[in-house]
Amino acid sequence: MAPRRALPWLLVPPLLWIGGLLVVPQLRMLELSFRRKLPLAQLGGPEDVYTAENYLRFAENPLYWKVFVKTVLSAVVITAVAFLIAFPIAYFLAKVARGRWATRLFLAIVVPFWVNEIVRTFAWLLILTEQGVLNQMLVALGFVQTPVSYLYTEGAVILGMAYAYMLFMLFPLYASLENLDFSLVEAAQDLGAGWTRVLRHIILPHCVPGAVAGSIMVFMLAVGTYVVPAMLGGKGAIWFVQLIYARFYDALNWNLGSAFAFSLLVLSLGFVAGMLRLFRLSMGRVLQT
Amino acid sequence: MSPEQRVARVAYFGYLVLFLVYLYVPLAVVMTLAFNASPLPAFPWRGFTLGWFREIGADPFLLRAIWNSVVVGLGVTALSVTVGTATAFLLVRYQFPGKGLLYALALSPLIMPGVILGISMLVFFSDVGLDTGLVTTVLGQSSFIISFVLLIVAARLQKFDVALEEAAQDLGATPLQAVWRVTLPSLRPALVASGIVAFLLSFDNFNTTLFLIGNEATLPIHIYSAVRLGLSPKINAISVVFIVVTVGLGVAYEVLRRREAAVA
Repeated sequence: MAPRRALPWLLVPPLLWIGGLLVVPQLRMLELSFRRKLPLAQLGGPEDVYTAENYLRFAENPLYWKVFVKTVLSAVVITAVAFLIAFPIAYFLAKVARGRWATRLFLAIVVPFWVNEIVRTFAWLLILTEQGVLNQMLVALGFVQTPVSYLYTEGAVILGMAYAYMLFMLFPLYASLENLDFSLVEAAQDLGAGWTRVLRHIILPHCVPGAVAGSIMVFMLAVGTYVVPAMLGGKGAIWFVQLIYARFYDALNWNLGSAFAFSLLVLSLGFVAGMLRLFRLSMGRVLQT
Repeated sequence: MSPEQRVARVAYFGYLVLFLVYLYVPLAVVMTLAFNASPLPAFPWRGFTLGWFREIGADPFLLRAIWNSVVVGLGVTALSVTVGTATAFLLVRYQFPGKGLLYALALSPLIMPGVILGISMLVFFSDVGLDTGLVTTVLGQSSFIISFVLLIVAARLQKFDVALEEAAQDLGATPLQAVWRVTLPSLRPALVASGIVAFLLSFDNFNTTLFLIGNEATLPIHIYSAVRLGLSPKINAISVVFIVVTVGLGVAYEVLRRREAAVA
């Protein structure tokens, strides 16, 4: 069927892509992170050796690692919040809604999914700012006397992110719940199981692949975002990617920036591997959802 | 139905309504304020105007950013669909040593933060003397968008009956002709769908682009800079245009996907 002669030709585009855009650049970033930032004249000189200095600086400076830890913990919180909010909606969409209503509801939920992250964040900026919609409502209703700004806080950033990434949790959950055989639920109920037991022993185990896929997506987006904290957090809530960006464009220390970036990469891949191991899943199974 | 069940049902339904409100109110605020004749993107309502949309046409930087986004989007679509389809053929049709590794690497961008891709390529491109700009942005975005195309095209290719290709060859077609005249036409819906996804992902992208765009701007980068300079309803008007384009493409993709699912 597939002619062997074509194989070398077919190998060219994927190898150029994977080699030239993924493997080599990331190895180069890794290499750079283990070198010193030196003036041009000293490159290749005796000072130019491999060293773990950049990683040590990262570990020793609390300004750096505290932001890193905070970013990771916030991303975990956002992932959990997204799951708790999205699960009942995904279940409704997959198992309760019927026929035409299910299609309409699906469309109603999918449409905001296509709206850009920046536009969604801008929306929350307009709501949370001092002259914003939320304050106008609260003042009009008499709950507060003078408007306060809700921006530039960790809370604003977490709220904005949970909103921006919610649907990346909802759709994988929906996909895994959709093929749940409802007769299993009925059988359990006939045998006397209450709702909590059905949920714990049948529904939740069934949606694990979807939940893992959704968690990976949300965590990755939350941990790697620049826009949401930059727009809603200001100086009050610095995120790790902003630190990296500043190394590249303000401090012009690409070596330290690469060390930060590589740490973030290891953390992300570690999160994926940890989730897969914890729930005994393979990557292929997760990608199916 | 017992009273408790009824209460639970009403609560569930109420939650669903609340969720939809949560999803749509922020977008409604952005869109409504684009038509408000007030110098600030805030209420109270001071009358309907299309003036903010007219300002889009008078802003050369914004128009250039939109143009850049379209050019980059088309470049990414062409590159990603070509490379993604070639990779799909390779992985679905051939056995060779190292295939598992290649497959894993091909899908690895899906589980990597976009900023990492942007940073690593910024470093690498500066090594080889490629200045940041539209070309580096096309390459950078394609690095992960190809993976999405690969998933979509490979899924369709797996369902394709190879006997059709063999029949074409029995009737005198060369292997290449058989692929060109028989296989690719049957992949068309998947190719179109993956093209739409590629364009959308490119048009939307911020994280990878941020590090590779240099002194130019795409639409998302422009909106971000504009917000930092100060709030103006003009940004709302741009957002409306952005929403219309991406939602339109998104719905087109969804329709295609459903038609595909109905055939398969």
